[in-house]
Amino acid sequence: MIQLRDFGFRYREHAECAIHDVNLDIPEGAFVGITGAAASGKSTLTYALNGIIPHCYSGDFYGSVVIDGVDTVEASLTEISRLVGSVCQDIESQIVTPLVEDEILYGLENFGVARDEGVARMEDVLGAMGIEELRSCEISSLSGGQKQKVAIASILALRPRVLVLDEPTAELDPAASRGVFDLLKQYSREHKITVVAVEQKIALLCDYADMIVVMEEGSVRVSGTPDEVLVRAPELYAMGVNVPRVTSLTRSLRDKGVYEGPVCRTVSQGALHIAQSLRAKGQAIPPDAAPGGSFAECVASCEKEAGKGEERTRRNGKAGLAALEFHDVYAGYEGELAVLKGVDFAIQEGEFVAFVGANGAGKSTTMRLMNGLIKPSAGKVSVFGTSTASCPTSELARTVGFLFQNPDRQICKTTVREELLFGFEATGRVDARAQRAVDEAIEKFGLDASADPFLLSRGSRQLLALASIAVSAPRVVVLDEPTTGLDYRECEKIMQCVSRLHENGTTVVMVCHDMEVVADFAGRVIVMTAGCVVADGPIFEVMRDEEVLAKASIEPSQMTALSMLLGKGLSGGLRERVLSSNTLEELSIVLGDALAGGASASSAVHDLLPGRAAGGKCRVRTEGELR
Amino acid sequence: MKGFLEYVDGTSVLHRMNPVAKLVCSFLTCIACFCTSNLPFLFAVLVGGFLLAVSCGMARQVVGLAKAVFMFSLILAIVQILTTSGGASLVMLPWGHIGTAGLVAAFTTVARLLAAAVPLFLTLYVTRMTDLANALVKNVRLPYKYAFTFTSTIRFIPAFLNDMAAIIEAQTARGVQFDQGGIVSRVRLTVPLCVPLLVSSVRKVNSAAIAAEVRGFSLRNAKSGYREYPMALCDGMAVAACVFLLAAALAVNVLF
Repeated sequence: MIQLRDFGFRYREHAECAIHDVNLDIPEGAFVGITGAAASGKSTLTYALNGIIPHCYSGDFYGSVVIDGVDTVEASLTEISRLVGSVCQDIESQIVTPLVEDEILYGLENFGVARDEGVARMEDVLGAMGIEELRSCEISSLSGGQKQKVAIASILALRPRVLVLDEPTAELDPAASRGVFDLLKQYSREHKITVVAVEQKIALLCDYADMIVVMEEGSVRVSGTPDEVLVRAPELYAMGVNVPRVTSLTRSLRDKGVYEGPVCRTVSQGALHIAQSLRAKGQAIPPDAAPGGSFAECVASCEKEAGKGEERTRRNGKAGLAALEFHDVYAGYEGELAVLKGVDFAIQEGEFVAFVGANGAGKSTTMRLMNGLIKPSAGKVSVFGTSTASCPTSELARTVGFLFQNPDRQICKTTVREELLFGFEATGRVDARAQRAVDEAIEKFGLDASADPFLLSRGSRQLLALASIAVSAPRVVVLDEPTTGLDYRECEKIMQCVSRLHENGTTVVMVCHDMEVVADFAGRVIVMTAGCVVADGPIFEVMRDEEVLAKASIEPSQMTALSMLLGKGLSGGLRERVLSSNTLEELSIVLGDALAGGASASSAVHDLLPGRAAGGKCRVRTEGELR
Repeated sequence: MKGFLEYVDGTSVLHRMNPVAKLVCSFLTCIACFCTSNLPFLFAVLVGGFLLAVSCGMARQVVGLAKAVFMFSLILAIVQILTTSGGASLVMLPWGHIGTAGLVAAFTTVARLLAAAVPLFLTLYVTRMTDLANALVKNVRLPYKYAFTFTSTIRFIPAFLNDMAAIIEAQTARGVQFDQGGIVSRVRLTVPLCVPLLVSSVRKVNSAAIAAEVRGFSLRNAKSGYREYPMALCDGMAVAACVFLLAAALAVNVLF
């Protein structure tokens, strides 16, 4: 269906090729995922497939791209568009009409499809996407996930043979992301459409794609089935591409020589194969064992043994005046119904708290209340005892730094140094101390002082935005989805910087959809749904509460989910150890020991290291290590 | 700024009128307002415009925009008061005086701008941009790219305003005092923010152009749209009424 032969392209403005020597064969009906670190050439590859290169961007075109026998250089963009449908990254720019119905009919009208057939196709794709009830709705009133479905439907209505999507789930929560991919997979199977999707969410791609292509620095480094690609995890890491945690775990157990099952992609696969291996190694796993006791009880008993409970409570945050306090808060936007309904919580100084929940739960509204961008319509929000209602946001900015999801909204200067200094300029504090703080930030964050911010990559711009907030050392930092649109490496860099800020005493509050990031860094999680708080507690306690997860439509991190699933079928000390393991390292040690027939289940001592609740890494130590 | 110049759904006569007829009527009314300086005439047109807005449920939106036009026209009015010497002298100035003629000229300016603007705003509130573009292409044979340019401009205004609001929000959160100080200081603070707005605007427009191209934009012509926009009797009558209004404005100008 799609053949790329020695394909390369150099944009006219650039000296180097953005993509080179790409050879790919994509069969008809395949679902292909393209991934890679930032600036690896993924978007350029999609432009080559939908004809934007060379028809909209000029430059040097090498090799050939043939789609269903049509050479993309010789054919016009319109001819290619009859074959290839594109959903671009910026949905808002793609939408040309205000109504869902008109949006889907737009392309059909342009391509001269007869009216009756056009309407029939529209009804067909509305049904396929599950959005029939939105037919007469205004697109501006839809959620992000719904808009994404409308955009995809409007392209599918054209009956393309190939569908190209550039990061279709970048701004969607995990449940909505899966929903979109489910529909795409089903539709493409029924209509034999070849789908090519660029995605950073490798776990999602592995669940749906038949073929994964990993790019680095403009060329294809790895390609094959998800299993074939994931086996090369160390190479992927080196390229800045993450792999599902379950894959890393099963690989690590194989490397230790204690596990002979397959390298798994999903939690359920991992649980099945690891359980089978445990059974084979003689670890008692009565198939009908009923889980006994809650996780909290298990942790409490472990803490009692280790005697660390008191210290963990202390590390949860300093006692005294709360850094942020919400008391029965109601809030919303002008002319709309209340988004928050009676929200209550307090965050102590020094905590690292993550807010999770589906899109529309009220998380971003809560963040904006914290620095006074929104004032509560009822109730009280206070920052170190000062009510936000009585203090302008520009003054609160000295205490509460806010990192927005889109760094481009914040960046306004022509060099990195000026951008970092801008916060001090805005508050009239430009002096020698400010200059020193800027120099330190440049070094700490690894920035190029003279670079033009707008020419940096998205990840670097986000890092600059974070640095320009951190440079004035606010006591609280609020992050609204700091990792959206970033590749794994960029995400790690940002979060390591945030973690360092936290270690220096800054209170960190974060909204994040990526449960792996939340599990790695946060100590406490507040779950929101429909404008209310439904759970508030230590991260792994909340993530194991299945009722809360279902209510808020969120998933736990892969390692927590795996430990819960495995723990249900275990008993005794091994069960306790598995259930109290939450990270890759912990599960690797516990399962490695169990599969090797290592440490005795009854004598292992749990040491939930202090600081876990505050975001530090937790490690299970055996008796031998403690002596 | 949400909803600025955005279509508001409804079922009034104005909503159901032909988009081209509405545009022609608003332009004719606008021209009529600039063809005469007769204050009673202009007030009558202004009142008529507001009554039309009330009849289709757009009173709140039109009043809101009228306030903005009024503030703008006030600046021109002040210039006229200070520079038009004539009539009974009210306040002496080094270069002349503020007279009744100046006051009348100021009132006329304000009334003219409001009377001319209200029908145009109303048209944008009661007409979907896509309907307007499609009707212009089908009925007037306007090349689609010009109609698309016009509707995209209108479509992007709220998007750019939202972007600007988000940028101001982000800068306020950094300590820039948009939420304190007077209008002069806020305008001064806004100037450097044109850079991020320009960058995001260019990116948005580039994406929009490419997205339209790959959906067959270049193929679209007068036959393409599924919807038809026939002219009905009320459309003809409305246009005739506005032509009469224009004639009346010219006549009033000659006679008075």
